[in-house]
Amino acid sequence: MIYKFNFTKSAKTQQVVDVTAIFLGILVVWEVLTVQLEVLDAFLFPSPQQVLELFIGDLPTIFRGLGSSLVLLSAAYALALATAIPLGLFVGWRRRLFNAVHPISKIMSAVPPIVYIPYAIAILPTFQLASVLVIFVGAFWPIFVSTLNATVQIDKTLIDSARMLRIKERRLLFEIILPAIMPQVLTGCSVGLIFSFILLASAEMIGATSGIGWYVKYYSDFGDYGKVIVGILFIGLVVTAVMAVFDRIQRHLLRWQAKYSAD
Amino acid sequence: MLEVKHVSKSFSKDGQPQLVLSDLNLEVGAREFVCLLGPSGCGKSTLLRIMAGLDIAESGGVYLDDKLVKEPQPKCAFVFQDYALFPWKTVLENVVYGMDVQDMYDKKTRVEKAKEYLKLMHLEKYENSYIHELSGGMRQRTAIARSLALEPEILFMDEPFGALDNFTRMELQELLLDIYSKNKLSVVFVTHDISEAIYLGDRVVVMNAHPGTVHSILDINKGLVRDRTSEDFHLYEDKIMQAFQLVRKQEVEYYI
Repeated sequence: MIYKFNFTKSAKTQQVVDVTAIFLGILVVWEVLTVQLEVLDAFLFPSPQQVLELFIGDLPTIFRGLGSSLVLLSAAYALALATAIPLGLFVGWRRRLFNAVHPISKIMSAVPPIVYIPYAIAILPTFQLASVLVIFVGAFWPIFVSTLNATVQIDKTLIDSARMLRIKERRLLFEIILPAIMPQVLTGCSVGLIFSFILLASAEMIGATSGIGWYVKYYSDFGDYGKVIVGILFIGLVVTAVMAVFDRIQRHLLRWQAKYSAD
Repeated sequence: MLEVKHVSKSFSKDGQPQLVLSDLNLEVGAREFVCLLGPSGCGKSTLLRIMAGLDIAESGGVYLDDKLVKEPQPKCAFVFQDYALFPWKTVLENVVYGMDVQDMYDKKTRVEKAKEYLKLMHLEKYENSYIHELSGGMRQRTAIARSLALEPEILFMDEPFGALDNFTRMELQELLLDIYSKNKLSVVFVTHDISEAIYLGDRVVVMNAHPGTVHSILDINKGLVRDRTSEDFHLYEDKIMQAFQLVRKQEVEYYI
């Protein structure tokens, strides 16, 4: 039952060493194939050094793009959190509402949100609004569905235990059910966050004039593949960083669970 | 006084309604320790839940001081077999929370009171532990502390020591009797353990199964059963064993 993920110190060091080794290995192969042996086409496959130079040279543009991307992302994601969790709780708690909504949510959540992009751009006045809507839809469903299902399946003794206190419904929802289902909700939130990034990049590649997705699309239209690689690597770094922050928050919120208690 | 009057209840099993409790009557007086004893499936837990207002009887009803119980009542607490603690809260927070919901005292007093009850349960060293760090016995002690903190007049306990090992169970029985003797409360205690029922109860309600009814009620002279190995203790055990055998015999006759 008690299961801990924490590595021993030497295992952790070992891991850092191994990851670094793999990373360096990829760099070496890349360097050898492009510069030393010149087996790869220089136009399509720029060398590591070229990419690094482009990256440093373009940093101001990239960060400006990141800024506009993160505004869209955080607005849409915050909106998804603020609506999906309370709605999921409420609908999951009301049996009749759940029976009515569950089949509908199954159909709605099955639509890949990417297909909404052209339509959203057509019906909304600005591109920003359209991408916020699409990112919101992408994040909403995984969060809503996980909250909904966890609420329905909650341990009934916890509810009884709270009912014995003659608790008000609002407190029951937010102080008992929500923390009890927090592990499942957070799983939904992390899926929602990944979806948000996918939709952000897609939306920007279709209609934006700035942003990290736009950057990749823009330079690939010009055949500037060095910058395309810069953009791809940068998106990878950003997503990793954001997911690391998410992981921290998750560990904090679930510190009461055996597997996170070591921190 | 808590009165159970003509309570019946059925559950549907494979689409067929099955009678779990049939026209059951019972009284629990103030400051009385009543054990509901019976084999599994005799509806004793269902009866307890109806008495506590967690479930509703199909016919008949439960009356607390002549008032029909339709939902959990104030001044009542419930201890569950699987503890039902809030794992996202620490031990101390678990005990404080109930008082918070019921608007008892101010914030500072709540914490003081909670610490008092935890001390009573020998848990003062674990105030800041999370539930997953505790053993089963410690979890149940936390649950009991949480219930006592509400200063209940009636404490409902549903096989609270059923999942614990023998040594822990005896230790907690001791602790419970001690608390019971020092506080002004009634306890309704569900168990399928004959000696537990004799050791704890002022009265033991022996229940039949299929459907659940009261077979007999045994008054226990508490002065005699302090010692679990005494002759009197075994005498009570024998009486209850006979009661259960009687139940079986009746069933056989019924089927012939």
